[in-house]
Amino acid sequence: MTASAVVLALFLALIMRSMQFGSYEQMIRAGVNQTGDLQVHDTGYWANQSIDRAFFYRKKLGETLHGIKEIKSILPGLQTFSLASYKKQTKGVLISGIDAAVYNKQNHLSNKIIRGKYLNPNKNEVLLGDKLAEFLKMHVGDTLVLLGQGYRGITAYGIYRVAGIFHLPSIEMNSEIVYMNLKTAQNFVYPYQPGLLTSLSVFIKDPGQLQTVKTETEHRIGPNYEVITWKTMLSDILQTIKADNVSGQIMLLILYIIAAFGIFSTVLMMTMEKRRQYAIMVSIGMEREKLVWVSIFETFIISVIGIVIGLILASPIIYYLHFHPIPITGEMAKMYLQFNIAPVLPFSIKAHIFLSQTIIILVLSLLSALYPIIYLSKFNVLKAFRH
Amino acid sequence: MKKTLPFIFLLVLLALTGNKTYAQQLTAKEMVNKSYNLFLGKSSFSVMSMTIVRPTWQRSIKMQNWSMGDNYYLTLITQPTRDKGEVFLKSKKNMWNFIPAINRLIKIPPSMMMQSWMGSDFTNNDLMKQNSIVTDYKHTFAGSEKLEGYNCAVINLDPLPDAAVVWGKIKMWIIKKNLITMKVEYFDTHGKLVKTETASQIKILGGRLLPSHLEMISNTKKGHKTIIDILHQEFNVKGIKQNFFSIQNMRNIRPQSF
Repeated sequence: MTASAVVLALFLALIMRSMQFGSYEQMIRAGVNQTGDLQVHDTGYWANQSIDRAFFYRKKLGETLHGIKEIKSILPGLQTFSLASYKKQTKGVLISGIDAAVYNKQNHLSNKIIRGKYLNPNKNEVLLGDKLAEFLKMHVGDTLVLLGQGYRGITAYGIYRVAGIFHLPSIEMNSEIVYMNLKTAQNFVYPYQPGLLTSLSVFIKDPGQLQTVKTETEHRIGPNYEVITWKTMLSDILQTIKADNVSGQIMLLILYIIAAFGIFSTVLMMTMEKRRQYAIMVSIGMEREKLVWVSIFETFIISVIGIVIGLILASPIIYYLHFHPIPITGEMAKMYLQFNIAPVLPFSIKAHIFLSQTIIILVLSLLSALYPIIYLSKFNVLKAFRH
Repeated sequence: MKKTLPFIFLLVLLALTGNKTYAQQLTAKEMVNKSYNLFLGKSSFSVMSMTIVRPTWQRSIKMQNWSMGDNYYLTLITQPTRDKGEVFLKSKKNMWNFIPAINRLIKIPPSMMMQSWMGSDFTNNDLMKQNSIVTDYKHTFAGSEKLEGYNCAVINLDPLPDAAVVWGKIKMWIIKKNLITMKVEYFDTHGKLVKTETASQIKILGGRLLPSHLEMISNTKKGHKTIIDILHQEFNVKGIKQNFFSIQNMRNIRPQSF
């Protein structure tokens, strides 16, 4: 009986935590795909993202970065704020200059084109999000006027043909971003010297090596640049996760309390049921101490059995759901897409989930063994006999 | 004889001090007003070069300016090639910008007034050349000081209670003799010195005694300053009427020979 209480408690705890951590991982992955595991900027850029903190790409920097073997890919980027205008409509947009081929390999932007074509690396054209195109009342082939602050105080201006219109999961990106070739963006922002960038997005092979790679990169490229990890760049996602984690832990606490009561009540029942037997044993000469040890041993074995069964039941379910997540549909799905997350219910199979829940439930079970210990140490043989 | 002697004495005294007291009789406000009007006239035409100096780079722009009174101002950028043809118009209280490369006319809203003009240390607000420096402040003398060998009156400008001004305080050094402003210090509302404007190389420009070299130095960013050199100046230019300062003319204006 106790065992089944333990099983239930562990099972529920595991499922819940796995789901929570699964969705956190999902959110982080979506964010990291956009920003990269790390980004290299000119010092001070992240704190103050103005175009005046852009830097010129130097061959030496590229060689140094490519020399770090944990780095999988590097995406150069030039971003600046600008006004976009077509006929009578004007809107503030983010110009994102990208290396068309490399960016596509990482983010598959060409698959998200719904009208027109992806960027041609030899042309000076732009890609608009569908919401932006809607606002500006523009179609493929129309020309967009851009006006903004350039580098070193010059006025950045240009006229560009719309090559294609894209649709990304995030509504924000669909209404605010204009993609163009890196060279086009560089000519827009500062045509007097080539190679202007605001960032280099770095993707690493093993996400667990994040801190080591960061330190090594910082050491090699020198003090003129800053290396920022996704943990800083996506700090708002991390905050959301932290807040949600706390609510999850509170729910878990409630679950533990209920589970503890369940375990305790079964242990209590068992002890009470065996009162007579204990009374007989003590009266025929068994030392109370030995009885206490027996009961501890009993509780321990039952707890372990319960945990093992719980793990055996929960693990396959979690593993299956990890690789075949439950799809979400309808209104909920739309909300997920707005946050640039695939609409599925994910499950995490990180070891710490299994380990922590197992240990906690084990501790709870063992704690409930305290009752029989106390009872057995003190109970009145005669009284027990009578009931 | 006895009665007239003191009278003659008084006359002589007045005659000797006459010149000096005339200038000293100007109130602080009048001095600021007269100094402000030195660059203005019924109409004017000038050619200037502006150099933006930063710790790691430098950029030069050449422009031609036309003005009428202090309500109308037109600036045409002539160099470098990329900025050539850009026009700025100030018409009463509005400021416009025309960029021929994209064939767009932009009205600069009040919210953009404190943004830098063409990346320099001058703001759009500075260029609007409003005479608020005369009308929105209380002017008081704060002694005399010698700058570059010139005897200057030091004047404190404190904003009037209801004035919509950006500065917490302004301090001006104006040459007593010719009313040229040699130096201006701009303080924010917390009393911190934000920027300093200096004038030098006084010469005859367009028939008036004016400084030909102006510098706007940032006190908050080390090594940041903007230099303006006046290459040519004319006053009371023929043929400039109010319709010269119009949006249509922004598209048509061409550099003038001088």
